[in-house]
Amino acid sequence: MPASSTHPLQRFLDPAILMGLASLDLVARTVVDGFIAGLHRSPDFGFSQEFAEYRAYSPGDDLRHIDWNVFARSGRLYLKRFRGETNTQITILLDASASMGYASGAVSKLDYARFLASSLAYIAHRQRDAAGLIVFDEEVRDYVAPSTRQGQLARILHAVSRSSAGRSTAFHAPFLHFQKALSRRGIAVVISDFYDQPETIIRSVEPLRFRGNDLVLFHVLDPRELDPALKSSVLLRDMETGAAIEVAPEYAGREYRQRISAHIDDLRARARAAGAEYFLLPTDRPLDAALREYIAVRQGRQ
Amino acid sequence: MGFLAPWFLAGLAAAALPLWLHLLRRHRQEPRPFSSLMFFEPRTQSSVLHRRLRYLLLLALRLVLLCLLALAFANPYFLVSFHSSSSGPVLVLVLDRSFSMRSADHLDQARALARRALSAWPSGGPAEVLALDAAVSVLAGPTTDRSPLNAAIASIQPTDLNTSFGALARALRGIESTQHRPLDVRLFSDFQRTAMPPSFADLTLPPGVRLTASPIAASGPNWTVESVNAPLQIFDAGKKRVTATVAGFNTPASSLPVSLVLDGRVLESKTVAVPANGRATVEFQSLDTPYGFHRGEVRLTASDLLPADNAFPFAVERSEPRPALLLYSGNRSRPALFYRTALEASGASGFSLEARSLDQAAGLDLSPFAFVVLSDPGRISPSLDRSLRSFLRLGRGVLVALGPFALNAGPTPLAGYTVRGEDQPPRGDASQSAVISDSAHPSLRGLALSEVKFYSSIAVDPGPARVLARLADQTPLLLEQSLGSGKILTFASTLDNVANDFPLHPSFVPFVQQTARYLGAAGEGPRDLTAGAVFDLHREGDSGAAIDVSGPDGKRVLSLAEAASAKSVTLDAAGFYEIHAPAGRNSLIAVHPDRRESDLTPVPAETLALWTAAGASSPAPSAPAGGENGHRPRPVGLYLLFLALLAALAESVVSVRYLWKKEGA
Repeated sequence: MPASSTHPLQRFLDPAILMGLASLDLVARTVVDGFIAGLHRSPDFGFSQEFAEYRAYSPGDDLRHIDWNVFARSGRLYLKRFRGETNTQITILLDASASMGYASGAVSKLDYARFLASSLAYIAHRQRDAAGLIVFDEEVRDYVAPSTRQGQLARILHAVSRSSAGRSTAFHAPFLHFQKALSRRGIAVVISDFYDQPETIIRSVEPLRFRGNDLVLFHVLDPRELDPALKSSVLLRDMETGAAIEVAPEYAGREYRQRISAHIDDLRARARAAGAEYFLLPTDRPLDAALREYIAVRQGRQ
Repeated sequence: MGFLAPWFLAGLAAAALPLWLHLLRRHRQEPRPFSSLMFFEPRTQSSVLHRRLRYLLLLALRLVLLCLLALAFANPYFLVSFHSSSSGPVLVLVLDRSFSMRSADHLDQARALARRALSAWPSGGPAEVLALDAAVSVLAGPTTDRSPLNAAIASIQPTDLNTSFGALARALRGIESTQHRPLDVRLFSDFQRTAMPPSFADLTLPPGVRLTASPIAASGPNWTVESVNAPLQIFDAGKKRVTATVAGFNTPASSLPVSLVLDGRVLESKTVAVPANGRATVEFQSLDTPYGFHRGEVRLTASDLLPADNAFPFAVERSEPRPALLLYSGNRSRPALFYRTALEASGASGFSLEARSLDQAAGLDLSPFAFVVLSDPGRISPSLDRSLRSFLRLGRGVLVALGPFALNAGPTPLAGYTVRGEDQPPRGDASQSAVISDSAHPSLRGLALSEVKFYSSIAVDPGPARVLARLADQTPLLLEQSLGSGKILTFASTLDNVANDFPLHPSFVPFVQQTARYLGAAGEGPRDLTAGAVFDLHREGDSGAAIDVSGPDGKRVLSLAEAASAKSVTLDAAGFYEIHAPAGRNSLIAVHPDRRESDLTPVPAETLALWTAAGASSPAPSAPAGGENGHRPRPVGLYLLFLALLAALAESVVSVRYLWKKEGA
């Protein structure tokens, strides 16, 4: 069932509709603001200043955490507890390899990844967290250092908007660069189609986890990559290597599906084993639904 | 099973073409980009197999189509068994009902003989009845039921048409080819010699047709009014001359009274001496008619075998001459002098010419004129051009004679031919002659232009126009073009004796008069025709208006629907037909029987024997008796062609479906 039928406020957030919006800034605001309106909970969410609970005061507690407003209304002392007391840093690693340029419909994987990156940057901006961006394929093509300075969101969105599908994917070099540039703990968000061996991918990204970062993997795939549904034998050309293979529909309908499912399962399992969070995002999935799941998972972890 | 044309089976080799296309030809397609092929393996064998399987239906349909076509052209047949009861001979009774059978009781004799032959035919045997005159009509059968056959024999009435044995032979060939059964033909006729075709080969009968002649006795003298020469139209007062030819067949020399009758009133009677088996001409000078159509007749009083041919009808109309208009340029009225002289030379053209200069034509009402002649008009004024075009759309005609003014005046008036310049005789000759391209055209019938000298003419580009006559250097001389139902004749020279000496030649007068009759639609007057003639109703200018045709018996020949749409009518009864067309275009047509019917001399016995013997040389059909089994080939090529058509349709549907799928994929 389409997400629009379950969340009326999100009916405009279909990725194909977002393609018609003028700028990534507008896309991010449309996604995130609508998403906030749909939460019906606290505006405090995201990466650091997450409200947790009220707790009755007990002797010895820090008086700075007493909610005096509650005391004024009820005459009782309560402590307001947050998860994470300090602003954190989020770095978005955006895969802009040639394979990300694939699109079976109106939205390519790279478009979808750009929307997602923009939305995450906007969320961080609202939370006054430091946000950074690395655009990579087989090397780092663009880098915006994490910062909370004014205009940071515009810089990130500009870098995201100028990203285009480049060459083949290689995780090792860009992640090494990221490790070197990392100065403090934070959250690393990798948005990619992860066309590599899961073992290689996890081996490249798990050092980030060792250094105390939270690692989130957004696996962006086109629906036709999950289900090619060929009606006749076709000659397919690899967008990264240029190699061509004639593919029969019965192969695409049976063996390919098994292989891509195994790849996804393997990647998901290895990511969890490495302490990373993994989200599979088909490009026909509404962005706010994906973000909702992401937030829910992160809240659960904390 | 066998094949009537087995060589076409070689066409089965064409089945190799779709096999090559489907299975052997390398399949090429454009590669489609895909994000990564890391989960694919190169298994092309599976792909090719799939493709082969997918197009298997299409391949099968194409193979079936080609095989069916090859088989259909090879025309296979199957031997089917039959019983002789369905292939026994058919008795074909042919009764002559032509005009000559009006003689005495000849038709009654024919009916009696036919009934006798039918009663002698075994009761289980099929028979049919045909009536013969200029064509063959099937009146009944083939059937074994005697009632409709006897009724058909009794219903036969004599017509006013002639007999044609050639038509009978053609009809018998057709019947034999469709029925595939032996025919026992009995012909009851007076066997006139004049009914024989020009070539004996036209009487050839197919194998399986046996002809038995049953002549009706006819001996005795017969006189007839063979022809009448009377004016069709009279335009002035005074008595006119009528001549008639009286002929005798198998007659002694005798003197016969002949009368000229007009509208039932005897105008004059004479006695003519007709030699034995000869002809005599009688002349009447008393034809004086009031205005209108009149029914005339030259009547012979004689006691002979065929009294029905002793009268010869003719139609005559008294009317005022119709005005015609000749327009000339400036003061060049000389062509009008020549044209008027030629037009009125015979006194029977029916037209009076009014000549004016083009300057005087402004605002002139053209509707009273039968036709218009433009003599070297050059470029005519737009108002005159509009008037003439309206005039043409009424079905009238215009003759345009080109002269020096046509040079540098742009396209010729009305027809719009491009003027190429002045045409001079080739090789420095002083003149050149002309050749008629269409000698059957009404305006050129019987003319010869080879003696006429043309010193100069206007060379025009005929375009799609009909060229009726050309000069010796192939320059078009006389051209015709239609505008609506109107006719435009363009004469590429002048009508005086400046550019040619045509007006000084005897052929100029008939040219002018025939052209005038053609352009002025003078053919709408009375006509004399032979029975069986087809009369053209000239429907081009009509807009669905009814044309009423009344027959000799006063009844309408055409139904209401036919009157509104029929292009022609067959006049198959002797007497007078009245044609009532819109806009007062009425006609009276005198129809007389073909006078060949008056000659009752029978076919020589040896000729008749030769004809019947030719039919009898084939295996004689015997009267149906008992039964006999046999086999007959039945070709199935047509069925195969039909199946091939279905296969072609199915192939189209399937291939289009595949194409859609491919585009969708």
